[in-house]
Amino acid sequence: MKESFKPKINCRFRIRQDIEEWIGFFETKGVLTFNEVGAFIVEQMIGDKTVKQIGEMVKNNFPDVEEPVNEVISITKQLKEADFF
Amino acid sequence: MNELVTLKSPLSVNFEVTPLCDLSCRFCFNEEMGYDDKKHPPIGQVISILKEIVRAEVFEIRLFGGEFFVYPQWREVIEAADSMDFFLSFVSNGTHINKEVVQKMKQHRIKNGAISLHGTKLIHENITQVQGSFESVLRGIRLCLDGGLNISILYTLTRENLSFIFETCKWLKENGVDINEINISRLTPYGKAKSDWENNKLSFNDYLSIFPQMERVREELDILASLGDAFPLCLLPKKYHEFVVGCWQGTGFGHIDHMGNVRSCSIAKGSYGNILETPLTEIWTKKLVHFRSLKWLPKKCRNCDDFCGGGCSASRYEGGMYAPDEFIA
Repeated sequence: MKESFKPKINCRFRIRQDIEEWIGFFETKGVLTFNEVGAFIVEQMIGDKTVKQIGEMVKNNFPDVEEPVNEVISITKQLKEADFF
Repeated sequence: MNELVTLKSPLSVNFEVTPLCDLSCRFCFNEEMGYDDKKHPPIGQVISILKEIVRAEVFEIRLFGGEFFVYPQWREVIEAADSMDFFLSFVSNGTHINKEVVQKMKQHRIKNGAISLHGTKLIHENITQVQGSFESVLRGIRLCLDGGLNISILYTLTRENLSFIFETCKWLKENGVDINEINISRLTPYGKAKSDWENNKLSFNDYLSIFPQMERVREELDILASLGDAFPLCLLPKKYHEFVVGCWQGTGFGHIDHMGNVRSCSIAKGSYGNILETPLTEIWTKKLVHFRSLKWLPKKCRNCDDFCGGGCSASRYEGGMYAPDEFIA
């Protein structure tokens, strides 16, 4: 996957922090759960940022994440396979 | 041991905006909810309830009744709920849906809903006890479909319509009502159905008989037919397990009535608390501990690898707020 790809989730969605994890509600698709970093990444997927840019945001907000761009790519691939783009 | 997860609040709620309905379905579970003097709640109260639901970060509201569209300020409710950024859908008897209703729903991002239809004309109107209700609901369904809304039919089982699931779906197809989903609901011993339960209730074999019908509906009519409620999977042939949608009450799903009372199920009685007095998150995390522990279920359910929730917790006669499925010994 190219780092210039701009992921845009193709439905209306919202994510909330719950007791033990983050929960995303995706209209007509269903519910997904995330950890904090995953939730942050998915919230950026509105089509205005590239994978690389989101990776940089992850790096700035979660300095402990070792390979932020790879983290973004991994989630992007999973969502792509599930028809979210 | 199985147990249910605790979320801070439901992900989706049925919000019973009004207890009033203009049909009189023979099985209606909403006929003994303890509303002594049924009347529409004031709009201020409805908005206050919505504000509490949004405060708890619930994602989705299904506008529910009674019959939501007989509520005089239904437009204001939709506007307010949309402005609070809820995902919205509706559950309706369909008889009040006209072009304006469809337009209003689309304008406020409603994409799908569920409409009750309990059989072909004679059966449906014998159940609703209102002549002309069949044509009215068909008109409502057609207008929704024409307007691009996804509509699921809700078909509550009774002795009368038990054998006519396929016939009803076939009739719809042949008459240009191009639905793509029907959810069959179990008959439960609440409200009117309870009053003569021994005569009204469906046997286990009655339930078994609906699965081949649903299979035919799927295969021959290309309509996704499912049992929309929970059912004990251990009693059901494996090939039919995929026909059971199941239930997520008390975890991701909740019900809030027009007074703000919280339940985990739209059918069963009682209240865990009132969101106009106590935050929904507090009610949801503290008052359902016993329900989620599943200690009220037989051990075999709590230990089951193919956990189905113990079937429908609203199916047992005198089951109160929850009880093991009527078919689980």
